[in-house]
Amino acid sequence: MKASQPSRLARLGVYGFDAVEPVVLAALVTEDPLLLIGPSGTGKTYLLNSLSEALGLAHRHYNASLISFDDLVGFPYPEPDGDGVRFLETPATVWGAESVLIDEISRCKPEHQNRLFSLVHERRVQGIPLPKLRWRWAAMNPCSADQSGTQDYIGSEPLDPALADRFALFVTAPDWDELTEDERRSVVDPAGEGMVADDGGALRREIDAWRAAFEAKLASCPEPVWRYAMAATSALNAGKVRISPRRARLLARSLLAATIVAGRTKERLFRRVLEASLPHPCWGEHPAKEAIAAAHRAAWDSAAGSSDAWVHAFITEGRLDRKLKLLLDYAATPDAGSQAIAQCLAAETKERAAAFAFAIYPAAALGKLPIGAEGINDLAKVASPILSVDGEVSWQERLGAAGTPHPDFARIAKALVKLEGGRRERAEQFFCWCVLEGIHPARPDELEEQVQACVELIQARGLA
Amino acid sequence: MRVIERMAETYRRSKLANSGGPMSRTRKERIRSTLLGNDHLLVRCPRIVRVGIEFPDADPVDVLTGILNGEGYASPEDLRGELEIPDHALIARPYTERAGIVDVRRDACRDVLWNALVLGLCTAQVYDPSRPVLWTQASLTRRLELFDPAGFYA
Repeated sequence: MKASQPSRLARLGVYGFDAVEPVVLAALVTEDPLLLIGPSGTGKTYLLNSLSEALGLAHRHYNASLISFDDLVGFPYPEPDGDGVRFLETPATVWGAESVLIDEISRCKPEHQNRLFSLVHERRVQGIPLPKLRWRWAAMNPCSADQSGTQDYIGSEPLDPALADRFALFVTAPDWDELTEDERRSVVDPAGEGMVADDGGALRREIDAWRAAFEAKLASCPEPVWRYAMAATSALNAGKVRISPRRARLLARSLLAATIVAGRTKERLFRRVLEASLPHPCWGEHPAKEAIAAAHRAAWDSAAGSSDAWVHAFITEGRLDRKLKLLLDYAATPDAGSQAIAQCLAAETKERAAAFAFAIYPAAALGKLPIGAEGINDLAKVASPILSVDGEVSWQERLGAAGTPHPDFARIAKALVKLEGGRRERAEQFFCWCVLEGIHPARPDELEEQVQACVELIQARGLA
Repeated sequence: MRVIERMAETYRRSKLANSGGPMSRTRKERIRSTLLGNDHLLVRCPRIVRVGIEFPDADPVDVLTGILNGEGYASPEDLRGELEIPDHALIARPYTERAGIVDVRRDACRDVLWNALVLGLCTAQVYDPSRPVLWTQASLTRRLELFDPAGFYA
């Protein structure tokens, strides 16, 4: 039986990180910021310092809870000609650094966080670029949103989401319970203390080669990568796990790098990168595992080019007109359209399902949409009660007042006031139904605008 | 005794003015609005026809099959070529009045068969001439108004 090769990180004397090694290597390839989160003594700092040793980097290691700005930039002094300011460089200042580790980033003062922000995000300090700086790393203890747990680290504050969003990947360091027996033995080996990571430059050569491949592929990102990133972002946002557009791009970069490191596209790898791309633990939030699993499933189907892949995007798409466009462009058969409609109506909120059905049902009934009889009936059940309404509403009126309108009318009037013609008539009809049903759309104007966008798409495609 | 009476009077007067909140009444309003068959709107979904059949106390399918055979047709599908019906899909809405409804006991067989053919092409929500003619108790006992939805996108 062939003995398994030690992982790259184990060869550097870093144990227990095998599961997240592809994520760490992807961060080395993209050179995007990496943040390690874990309890004290789990090897976060050791890992990052070992990487800098193995790569032979000019490395700076700052403790954010103790740092002063002068530590970073050096002591300022005026230029000899009096025009501007220079900084007195020391071995600890950041100017010549190729890699920077900001330890305990969650323990620093807010004003220091702001200064670190430009370092992490832009590779700049005081607006001055740091051309040699390639890798920006940070580490922190876990925090919770309210610091109420018994395992909370006092002083480890939730990270500002704007700063957290600049990190591309988040690696959770494994604690003792998560280590294998072999890893525990390696960790307790007394000879490991003070060892300098040195693999003879092997990791550096690999990183350089992967980086070259990464840069070559940036111009034409493989379809599975961008498809996965797009679908995962849409699905997570639909599942109330907020992901910024910037993070969607960072996710695509990390996936591309991880694919290059692994040599192929692997489902488990994509899931691991997705999990490591969520910044929420930085501010003490832990998104539901089910939401992440569902987003990964939808995204992986999309990346794999499955014939049903568009359905995931259709269901999770936030705008109704984009939903309709997906239906028109990708529903290959009426049955596929019917199934998608059934899932969509079940997944959406009542007012959004109603708005979508209201907008497309007439075209569907005319047979102009790729929807079968079952789908048309599903739409009809939702839309028919909206097309004609007849009912009674009641509200409380103060004795001194007379002729007051229903309170909902005031909200809806704002959405209607600028509308004209058929658009206004459709909007009035829809909102009459909302009032009778006791439905209060959060943004009536936005919902109406999306209904109108569906109508315009149907008109533009000559479907009515 | 007088003191108690005076307090009761004071309370009777004050309770109207201080009952815990501003006095209010419940207002009710009826909302009726439709985009279907409303000729005053820019969104025009005109009513094309009303369909429905009044049956005696007998199975509607048996009654209609008897009329169909009596007129020399073997199957409801045979009516397609004989009777002129709307040629594209329409939106259906339940209809509860009697006006425009044919009665198998009084009206001409051809009118009854026309209604039966159209009802056989309807679900509760849609009229679709491309679907097969289905005569069932449910389909034949519906009363529907049919509207052309094309004008919805005006």
